[in-house]
Amino acid sequence: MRLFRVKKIINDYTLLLLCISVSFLLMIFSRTPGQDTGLEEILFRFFGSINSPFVHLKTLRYVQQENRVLRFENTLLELEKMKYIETFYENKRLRMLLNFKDQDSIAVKPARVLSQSNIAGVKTITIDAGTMSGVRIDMPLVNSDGLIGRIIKTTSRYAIGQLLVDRNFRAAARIQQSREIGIYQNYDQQSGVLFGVHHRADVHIGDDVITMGKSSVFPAGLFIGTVARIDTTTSRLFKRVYVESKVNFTKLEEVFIVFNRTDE
Amino acid sequence: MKYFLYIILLVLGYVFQCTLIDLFSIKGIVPDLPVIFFIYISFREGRRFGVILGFALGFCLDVLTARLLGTGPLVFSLIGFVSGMAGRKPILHLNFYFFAFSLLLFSYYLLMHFVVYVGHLRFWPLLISETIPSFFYSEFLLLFLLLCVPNFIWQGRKLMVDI
Repeated sequence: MRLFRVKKIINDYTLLLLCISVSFLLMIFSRTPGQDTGLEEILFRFFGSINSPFVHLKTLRYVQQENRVLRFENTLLELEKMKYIETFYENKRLRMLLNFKDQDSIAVKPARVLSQSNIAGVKTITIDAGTMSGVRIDMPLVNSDGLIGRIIKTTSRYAIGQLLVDRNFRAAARIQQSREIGIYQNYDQQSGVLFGVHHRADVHIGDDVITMGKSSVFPAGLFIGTVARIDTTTSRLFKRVYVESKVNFTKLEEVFIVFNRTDE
Repeated sequence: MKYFLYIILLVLGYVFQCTLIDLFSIKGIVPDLPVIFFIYISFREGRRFGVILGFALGFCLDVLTARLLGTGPLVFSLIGFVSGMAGRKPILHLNFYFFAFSLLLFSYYLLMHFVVYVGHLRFWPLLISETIPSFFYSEFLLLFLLLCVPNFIWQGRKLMVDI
Protein backbone atom coordinates (compact mmCIF):
# COMPACT_ATOMS: atom_id res chain seq x y z
CA MET A 1 0.00 0.00 0.00
CA ARG A 2 2.81 2.36 1.01
CA LEU A 3 4.74 1.39 -2.12
CA PHE A 4 1.69 2.20 -4.20
CA ARG A 5 1.37 5.62 -2.57
CA VAL A 6 5.05 6.41 -3.16
CA LYS A 7 4.68 5.34 -6.77
CA LYS A 8 1.61 7.54 -7.12
CA ILE A 9 3.39 10.55 -5.61
CA ILE A 10 6.34 10.04 -7.93
CA ASN A 11 3.97 9.78 -10.84
CA ASP A 12 2.31 13.08 -9.95
CA TYR A 13 5.64 14.81 -9.59
CA THR A 14 6.91 13.21 -12.79
CA LEU A 15 3.83 14.42 -14.58
CA LEU A 16 4.38 17.94 -13.30
CA LEU A 17 8.04 17.85 -14.31
CA LEU A 18 7.08 16.55 -17.73
CA CYS A 19 4.55 19.34 -18.19
CA ILE A 20 7.06 21.98 -17.11
CA SER A 21 9.70 20.54 -19.43
CA VAL A 22 7.29 20.47 -22.36
CA SER A 23 6.27 24.05 -21.56
CA PHE A 24 9.88 25.20 -21.70
CA LEU A 25 10.44 23.24 -24.90
CA LEU A 26 7.36 24.89 -26.39
CA MET A 27 8.71 28.29 -25.43
CA ILE A 28 12.04 27.56 -27.05
CA PHE A 29 11.04 25.60 -30.12
CA SER A 30 7.55 26.88 -30.87
CA ARG A 31 6.99 27.87 -34.44
CA THR A 32 7.47 31.41 -35.62
CA PRO A 33 4.66 33.54 -34.19
CA GLY A 34 1.92 34.19 -36.66
CA GLN A 35 2.03 30.90 -38.51
CA ASP A 36 -1.11 28.88 -38.83
CA THR A 37 -0.80 25.39 -37.34
CA GLY A 38 -4.33 24.20 -37.99
CA LEU A 39 -5.12 23.95 -34.29
CA GLU A 40 -5.71 27.69 -34.21
CA GLU A 41 -8.24 27.38 -37.00
CA ILE A 42 -10.20 24.72 -35.09
CA LEU A 43 -10.15 26.68 -31.83
CA PHE A 44 -11.05 29.98 -33.49
CA ARG A 45 -13.89 28.38 -35.41
CA PHE A 46 -15.21 26.76 -32.24
CA PHE A 47 -15.01 29.86 -30.07
CA GLY A 48 -16.00 32.16 -32.94
CA SER A 49 -19.31 30.39 -33.31
CA ILE A 50 -19.95 30.49 -29.55
CA ASN A 51 -18.82 34.09 -29.16
CA SER A 52 -21.03 35.56 -31.90
CA PRO A 53 -24.32 35.74 -29.93
CA PHE A 54 -22.49 37.21 -26.94
CA VAL A 55 -20.85 39.84 -29.14
CA HIS A 56 -24.26 40.79 -30.56
CA LEU A 57 -25.57 41.08 -27.03
CA LYS A 58 -22.72 43.39 -26.12
CA THR A 59 -23.26 45.46 -29.26
CA LEU A 60 -26.92 46.04 -28.48
CA ARG A 61 -26.05 47.88 -25.32
CA TYR A 62 -24.26 50.68 -27.15
CA VAL A 63 -26.03 50.69 -30.50
CA GLN A 64 -28.61 53.39 -29.84
CA GLN A 65 -26.18 55.82 -28.27
CA GLU A 66 -23.64 55.12 -30.97
CA ASN A 67 -26.18 55.67 -33.71
CA ARG A 68 -27.00 59.13 -32.40
CA VAL A 69 -23.33 60.08 -32.22
CA LEU A 70 -22.67 58.69 -35.69
CA ARG A 71 -25.48 60.68 -37.27
CA PHE A 72 -24.10 63.85 -35.77
CA GLU A 73 -20.57 63.01 -36.85
CA ASN A 74 -21.76 62.09 -40.31
CA THR A 75 -23.24 65.54 -40.81
CA LEU A 76 -20.00 67.17 -39.68
CA LEU A 77 -17.96 64.91 -41.92
CA GLU A 78 -20.08 65.72 -44.95
CA LEU A 79 -19.30 69.37 -44.41
CA GLU A 80 -15.61 68.58 -43.92
CA LYS A 81 -15.58 66.44 -47.04
CA MET A 82 -16.59 69.32 -49.26
CA LYS A 83 -13.70 71.34 -47.92
CA TYR A 84 -11.24 68.46 -48.41
CA ILE A 85 -12.27 67.80 -51.99
CA GLU A 86 -11.27 71.32 -52.84
CA THR A 87 -7.97 70.95 -50.98
CA PHE A 88 -7.33 67.59 -52.66
CA TYR A 89 -7.56 69.01 -56.16
CA GLU A 90 -5.50 72.00 -55.19
CA ASN A 91 -2.85 69.72 -53.72
CA LYS A 92 -2.87 67.57 -56.84
CA ARG A 93 -2.32 70.58 -59.06
CA LEU A 94 0.52 71.84 -56.90
CA ARG A 95 2.20 68.42 -56.77
CA MET A 96 2.06 68.20 -60.53
CA LEU A 97 3.67 71.61 -60.77
CA LEU A 98 6.48 70.47 -58.45
CA ASN A 99 6.85 67.06 -60.15
CA PHE A 100 6.21 65.17 -56.89
CA LYS A 101 5.66 61.41 -57.13
CA ASP A 102 2.32 60.11 -55.83
CA GLN A 103 2.50 58.46 -52.43
CA ASP A 104 1.32 54.89 -51.94
CA SER A 105 -2.40 54.98 -51.46
CA ILE A 106 -4.09 52.81 -48.88
CA ALA A 107 -7.39 50.98 -48.71
CA VAL A 108 -9.30 49.52 -45.79
CA LYS A 109 -11.43 46.44 -45.26
CA PRO A 110 -13.86 46.10 -42.36
CA ALA A 111 -13.79 43.17 -39.93
CA ARG A 112 -15.89 42.26 -36.93
CA VAL A 113 -14.31 41.75 -33.51
CA LEU A 114 -15.21 38.26 -32.31
CA SER A 115 -13.46 38.33 -29.00
CA GLN A 116 -11.15 40.44 -26.98
CA SER A 117 -8.55 38.93 -24.76
CA ASN A 118 -8.81 40.03 -21.15
CA ILE A 119 -6.39 37.39 -19.99
CA ALA A 120 -3.58 38.67 -17.77
CA GLY A 121 -1.07 40.74 -19.68
CA VAL A 122 -2.33 40.00 -23.16
CA LYS A 123 -4.25 42.62 -25.09
CA THR A 124 -5.37 41.08 -28.35
CA ILE A 125 -8.54 40.84 -30.43
CA THR A 126 -9.78 38.09 -32.71
CA ILE A 127 -11.37 39.30 -35.96
CA ASP A 128 -13.43 37.45 -38.55
CA ALA A 129 -11.12 38.02 -41.50
CA GLY A 130 -8.17 35.84 -42.41
CA THR A 131 -5.83 34.98 -45.23
CA MET A 132 -8.80 34.17 -47.46
CA SER A 133 -9.74 37.86 -47.33
CA GLY A 134 -6.18 38.88 -48.05
CA VAL A 135 -5.23 39.63 -44.44
CA ARG A 136 -1.54 39.26 -43.73
CA ILE A 137 0.69 39.58 -40.69
CA ASP A 138 1.72 43.14 -39.73
CA MET A 139 -1.23 44.82 -41.41
CA PRO A 140 -2.39 47.78 -39.33
CA LEU A 141 -5.80 47.91 -37.67
CA VAL A 142 -7.64 51.20 -37.33
CA ASN A 143 -11.04 52.66 -36.58
CA SER A 144 -12.45 56.16 -36.72
CA ASP A 145 -10.62 57.09 -33.51
CA GLY A 146 -7.19 56.11 -34.81
CA LEU A 147 -4.72 53.27 -34.77
CA ILE A 148 -5.83 50.16 -32.87
CA GLY A 149 -2.96 47.76 -33.45
CA ARG A 150 -1.61 45.30 -35.98
CA ILE A 151 -2.20 41.74 -37.13
CA ILE A 152 0.12 39.25 -35.44
CA LYS A 153 -1.41 35.93 -36.39
CA THR A 154 -3.60 34.72 -39.23
CA THR A 155 -5.57 31.63 -40.10
CA SER A 156 -7.68 31.15 -43.21
CA ARG A 157 -10.78 32.83 -41.74
CA TYR A 158 -9.62 34.54 -38.58
CA ALA A 159 -6.80 36.74 -37.42
CA ILE A 160 -5.43 37.96 -34.11
CA GLY A 161 -4.63 41.62 -33.72
CA GLN A 162 -2.23 42.96 -31.14
CA LEU A 163 -3.69 46.10 -29.57
CA LEU A 164 -1.95 49.40 -29.08
CA VAL A 165 -2.23 48.83 -25.33
CA ASP A 166 -0.37 45.50 -25.38
CA ARG A 167 2.94 45.63 -23.59
CA ASN A 168 4.85 44.39 -26.64
CA PHE A 169 3.43 46.95 -29.04
CA ARG A 170 5.89 49.40 -30.60
CA ALA A 171 5.49 51.89 -33.43
CA ALA A 172 7.67 54.53 -34.98
CA ALA A 173 5.79 57.76 -34.40
CA ARG A 174 5.93 61.42 -35.23
CA ILE A 175 4.43 64.51 -33.66
CA GLN A 176 2.32 65.95 -36.41
CA GLN A 177 2.80 69.65 -35.67
CA SER A 178 6.55 69.78 -34.97
CA ARG A 179 7.55 66.64 -36.98
CA GLU A 180 9.60 65.34 -34.02
CA ILE A 181 10.05 61.56 -34.01
CA GLY A 182 10.05 58.86 -31.33
CA ILE A 183 9.15 55.28 -30.52
CA TYR A 184 5.66 54.67 -29.19
CA GLN A 185 5.30 52.06 -26.44
CA ASN A 186 2.41 51.06 -24.19
CA TYR A 187 2.20 52.71 -20.78
CA ASP A 188 -1.16 51.83 -19.25
CA GLN A 189 -4.70 50.84 -20.24
CA GLN A 190 -5.40 53.88 -22.39
CA SER A 191 -2.11 55.59 -23.02
CA GLY A 192 1.41 55.10 -24.26
CA VAL A 193 4.71 56.84 -24.03
CA LEU A 194 6.91 58.26 -26.78
CA PHE A 195 10.58 57.49 -26.26
CA GLY A 196 13.54 59.11 -27.88
CA VAL A 197 12.15 62.62 -28.16
CA HIS A 198 15.01 65.06 -27.72
CA HIS A 199 14.79 67.31 -24.66
CA ARG A 200 14.87 70.41 -26.87
CA ALA A 201 12.12 69.10 -29.13
CA ASP A 202 9.14 71.34 -29.65
CA VAL A 203 6.33 69.32 -28.12
CA HIS A 204 3.16 70.66 -26.53
CA ILE A 205 0.24 69.13 -24.73
CA GLY A 206 -2.55 68.51 -27.20
CA ASP A 207 -0.27 67.86 -30.18
CA ASP A 208 -1.29 64.96 -32.41
CA VAL A 209 0.89 61.88 -32.69
CA ILE A 210 0.84 59.91 -35.93
CA THR A 211 2.73 56.95 -37.37
CA MET A 212 5.99 57.90 -39.01
CA GLY A 213 5.81 55.65 -42.05
CA LYS A 214 9.45 54.63 -42.06
CA SER A 215 8.74 51.05 -40.98
CA SER A 216 7.34 48.26 -43.13
CA VAL A 217 4.35 47.87 -40.80
CA PHE A 218 2.54 51.19 -40.53
CA PRO A 219 2.02 53.65 -43.36
CA ALA A 220 2.62 57.30 -42.56
CA GLY A 221 -0.09 59.42 -41.02
CA LEU A 222 -2.19 56.97 -39.00
CA PHE A 223 -3.44 58.83 -35.94
CA ILE A 224 -2.15 57.32 -32.68
CA GLY A 225 -3.30 59.83 -30.08
CA THR A 226 -2.69 63.22 -28.55
CA VAL A 227 0.04 64.37 -26.19
CA ALA A 228 -1.41 64.30 -22.69
CA ARG A 229 1.63 64.94 -20.51
CA ILE A 230 5.32 65.70 -20.95
CA ASP A 231 7.87 64.56 -18.43
CA THR A 232 11.21 66.33 -18.70
CA THR A 233 12.63 65.33 -15.33
CA THR A 234 13.23 61.62 -15.88
CA SER A 235 16.10 61.98 -18.30
CA ARG A 236 18.47 64.71 -19.37
CA LEU A 237 18.75 63.80 -23.01
CA PHE A 238 15.21 62.77 -23.82
CA LYS A 239 11.75 63.86 -22.89
CA ARG A 240 9.12 61.34 -22.01
CA VAL A 241 5.97 62.23 -23.90
CA TYR A 242 2.76 60.58 -22.75
CA VAL A 243 0.27 59.94 -25.52
CA GLU A 244 -3.39 59.28 -24.91
CA SER A 245 -5.30 57.24 -27.49
CA LYS A 246 -8.88 58.19 -28.37
CA VAL A 247 -9.81 54.57 -29.04
CA ASN A 248 -12.03 52.96 -26.45
CA PHE A 249 -10.38 49.56 -26.24
CA THR A 250 -13.15 48.04 -24.16
CA LYS A 251 -15.84 48.70 -26.78
CA LEU A 252 -14.24 47.47 -29.97
CA GLU A 253 -16.85 45.97 -32.25
CA GLU A 254 -15.61 46.67 -35.75
CA VAL A 255 -12.15 47.45 -37.00
CA PHE A 256 -10.65 48.28 -40.37
CA ILE A 257 -7.66 46.48 -41.78
CA VAL A 258 -5.35 48.78 -43.69
CA PHE A 259 -4.18 47.43 -47.04
CA ASN A 260 -1.68 48.99 -49.36
CA ARG A 261 -3.08 49.14 -52.88
CA THR A 262 -0.41 46.64 -53.87
CA ASP A 263 -1.70 44.13 -51.25
CA GLU A 264 -5.15 43.98 -52.75
CA MET B 1 -20.89 13.93 -16.55
CA LYS B 2 -18.79 15.77 -13.98
CA TYR B 3 -15.92 16.30 -16.43
CA PHE B 4 -18.33 17.43 -19.10
CA LEU B 5 -19.67 20.06 -16.70
CA TYR B 6 -16.12 21.18 -15.96
CA ILE B 7 -15.39 21.65 -19.64
CA ILE B 8 -18.62 23.61 -20.16
CA LEU B 9 -17.75 25.78 -17.17
CA LEU B 10 -14.29 26.55 -18.55
CA VAL B 11 -15.54 27.20 -22.10
CA LEU B 12 -18.30 29.49 -20.85
CA GLY B 13 -15.80 31.20 -18.57
CA TYR B 14 -13.51 31.91 -21.50
CA VAL B 15 -16.33 33.04 -23.80
CA PHE B 16 -17.68 35.36 -21.13
CA GLN B 17 -14.18 36.66 -20.48
CA CYS B 18 -13.73 37.53 -24.15
CA THR B 19 -17.08 39.14 -24.78
CA LEU B 20 -19.18 40.44 -21.91
CA ILE B 21 -16.73 40.83 -19.05
CA ASP B 22 -16.27 44.54 -19.81
CA LEU B 23 -19.82 45.13 -18.66
CA PHE B 24 -18.66 44.16 -15.19
CA SER B 25 -15.37 46.01 -15.21
CA ILE B 26 -14.61 48.48 -12.48
CA LYS B 27 -12.33 51.20 -13.85
CA GLY B 28 -10.91 48.77 -16.37
CA ILE B 29 -10.29 46.06 -13.80
CA VAL B 30 -11.83 42.72 -14.70
CA PRO B 31 -11.74 39.33 -12.98
CA ASP B 32 -10.14 36.31 -14.65
CA LEU B 33 -12.96 33.79 -14.97
CA PRO B 34 -11.13 30.85 -16.60
CA VAL B 35 -8.55 30.97 -13.81
CA ILE B 36 -11.15 31.11 -11.07
CA PHE B 37 -12.94 28.09 -12.50
CA PHE B 38 -9.68 26.29 -13.12
CA ILE B 39 -8.48 26.67 -9.52
CA TYR B 40 -11.87 25.65 -8.26
CA ILE B 41 -11.87 22.49 -10.39
CA SER B 42 -8.27 21.55 -9.58
CA PHE B 43 -8.97 22.09 -5.93
CA ARG B 44 -11.76 19.55 -6.12
CA GLU B 45 -10.10 17.00 -8.34
CA GLY B 46 -6.55 16.69 -7.08
CA ARG B 47 -3.12 17.49 -8.38
CA ARG B 48 -2.90 15.02 -11.26
CA PHE B 49 -6.08 16.30 -12.81
CA GLY B 50 -4.96 19.86 -12.02
CA VAL B 51 -1.68 19.42 -13.87
CA ILE B 52 -3.25 17.86 -16.94
CA LEU B 53 -6.12 20.34 -17.08
CA GLY B 54 -3.73 23.22 -16.42
CA PHE B 55 -1.46 22.19 -19.25
CA ALA B 56 -4.35 21.83 -21.69
CA LEU B 57 -6.05 25.05 -20.62
CA GLY B 58 -2.80 27.02 -20.68
CA PHE B 59 -2.00 25.70 -24.13
CA CYS B 60 -5.42 26.62 -25.49
CA LEU B 61 -5.24 30.11 -23.98
CA ASP B 62 -1.77 30.64 -25.47
CA VAL B 63 -3.02 29.64 -28.90
CA LEU B 64 -6.17 31.74 -28.64
CA THR B 65 -4.44 34.88 -27.42
CA ALA B 66 -1.24 34.55 -29.49
CA ARG B 67 0.82 34.64 -26.30
CA LEU B 68 4.28 33.04 -26.34
CA LEU B 69 3.44 29.33 -26.57
CA GLY B 70 4.44 27.60 -23.34
CA THR B 71 3.88 30.35 -20.78
CA GLY B 72 0.28 29.28 -20.17
CA PRO B 73 1.02 25.55 -19.74
CA LEU B 74 3.90 26.39 -17.39
CA VAL B 75 1.94 28.67 -15.09
CA PHE B 76 -1.32 26.69 -15.20
CA SER B 77 0.38 23.31 -14.60
CA LEU B 78 2.11 24.67 -11.52
CA ILE B 79 -1.03 26.28 -10.18
CA GLY B 80 -3.06 23.15 -10.97
CA PHE B 81 -0.61 20.99 -9.08
CA VAL B 82 -0.59 23.22 -6.01
CA SER B 83 -4.37 23.61 -6.14
CA GLY B 84 -4.81 19.86 -6.25
CA MET B 85 -2.37 19.47 -3.38
CA ALA B 86 -4.18 22.03 -1.23
CA GLY B 87 -7.53 20.49 -2.03
CA ARG B 88 -6.42 17.12 -0.65
CA LYS B 89 -5.55 18.40 2.82
CA PRO B 90 -7.80 16.90 5.44
CA ILE B 91 -8.57 20.24 7.11
CA LEU B 92 -12.15 20.71 6.12
CA HIS B 93 -12.84 24.23 7.23
CA LEU B 94 -13.99 27.27 5.35
CA ASN B 95 -11.11 29.43 6.56
CA PHE B 96 -8.61 26.95 5.17
CA TYR B 97 -10.28 26.89 1.78
CA PHE B 98 -10.56 30.62 1.63
CA PHE B 99 -6.92 31.00 2.60
CA ALA B 100 -5.76 28.34 0.14
CA PHE B 101 -7.83 29.77 -2.70
CA SER B 102 -6.55 33.28 -2.05
CA LEU B 103 -2.97 32.12 -1.95
CA LEU B 104 -3.33 30.15 -5.17
CA LEU B 105 -5.05 32.96 -6.97
CA PHE B 106 -2.47 35.43 -5.78
CA SER B 107 0.33 33.07 -6.89
CA TYR B 108 -1.27 32.87 -10.33
CA TYR B 109 -1.52 36.63 -10.71
CA LEU B 110 2.02 37.12 -9.43
CA LEU B 111 3.44 34.41 -11.70
CA MET B 112 1.62 35.69 -14.74
CA HIS B 113 2.60 39.27 -14.00
CA PHE B 114 6.21 38.22 -13.70
CA VAL B 115 6.15 36.14 -16.90
CA VAL B 116 4.38 38.81 -18.94
CA TYR B 117 5.72 42.08 -17.57
CA VAL B 118 9.30 41.27 -16.63
CA GLY B 119 11.47 44.04 -18.02
CA HIS B 120 8.51 46.33 -18.60
CA LEU B 121 8.89 50.00 -17.88
CA ARG B 122 6.04 49.94 -15.37
CA PHE B 123 6.48 46.54 -13.76
CA TRP B 124 5.71 47.75 -10.22
CA PRO B 125 3.08 50.39 -11.03
CA LEU B 126 1.21 47.83 -13.16
CA LEU B 127 1.40 45.32 -10.33
CA ILE B 128 -0.25 47.79 -8.00
CA SER B 129 -2.71 49.39 -10.40
CA GLU B 130 -3.80 46.36 -12.46
CA THR B 131 -2.68 42.98 -11.19
CA ILE B 132 -3.53 43.35 -7.50
CA PRO B 133 -6.96 44.96 -8.07
CA SER B 134 -7.75 42.19 -10.59
CA PHE B 135 -6.72 39.67 -7.97
CA PHE B 136 -9.09 41.17 -5.41
CA TYR B 137 -11.95 41.21 -7.91
CA SER B 138 -11.32 37.57 -8.81
CA GLU B 139 -10.98 36.74 -5.13
CA PHE B 140 -14.41 38.17 -4.50
CA LEU B 141 -15.91 36.03 -7.24
CA LEU B 142 -14.06 32.97 -6.06
CA LEU B 143 -15.46 33.41 -2.59
CA PHE B 144 -18.90 33.81 -4.08
CA LEU B 145 -18.43 30.57 -6.05
CA LEU B 146 -17.18 28.78 -2.98
CA LEU B 147 -20.05 29.83 -0.77
CA CYS B 148 -22.95 29.90 -3.18
CA VAL B 149 -22.57 26.94 -5.53
CA PRO B 150 -24.30 24.01 -3.85
CA ASN B 151 -22.21 20.90 -3.59
CA PHE B 152 -24.84 18.57 -5.06
CA ILE B 153 -24.25 20.11 -8.49
CA TRP B 154 -21.05 18.17 -8.61
CA GLN B 155 -20.83 14.43 -8.13
CA GLY B 156 -17.42 14.47 -6.50
CA ARG B 157 -17.58 15.77 -2.95
CA LYS B 158 -14.09 16.50 -1.94
CA LEU B 159 -14.78 20.12 -1.24
CA MET B 160 -17.14 21.92 1.08
CA VAL B 161 -18.02 18.85 3.10
CA ASP B 162 -18.76 20.79 6.23
CA ILE B 163 -19.36 24.25 4.85
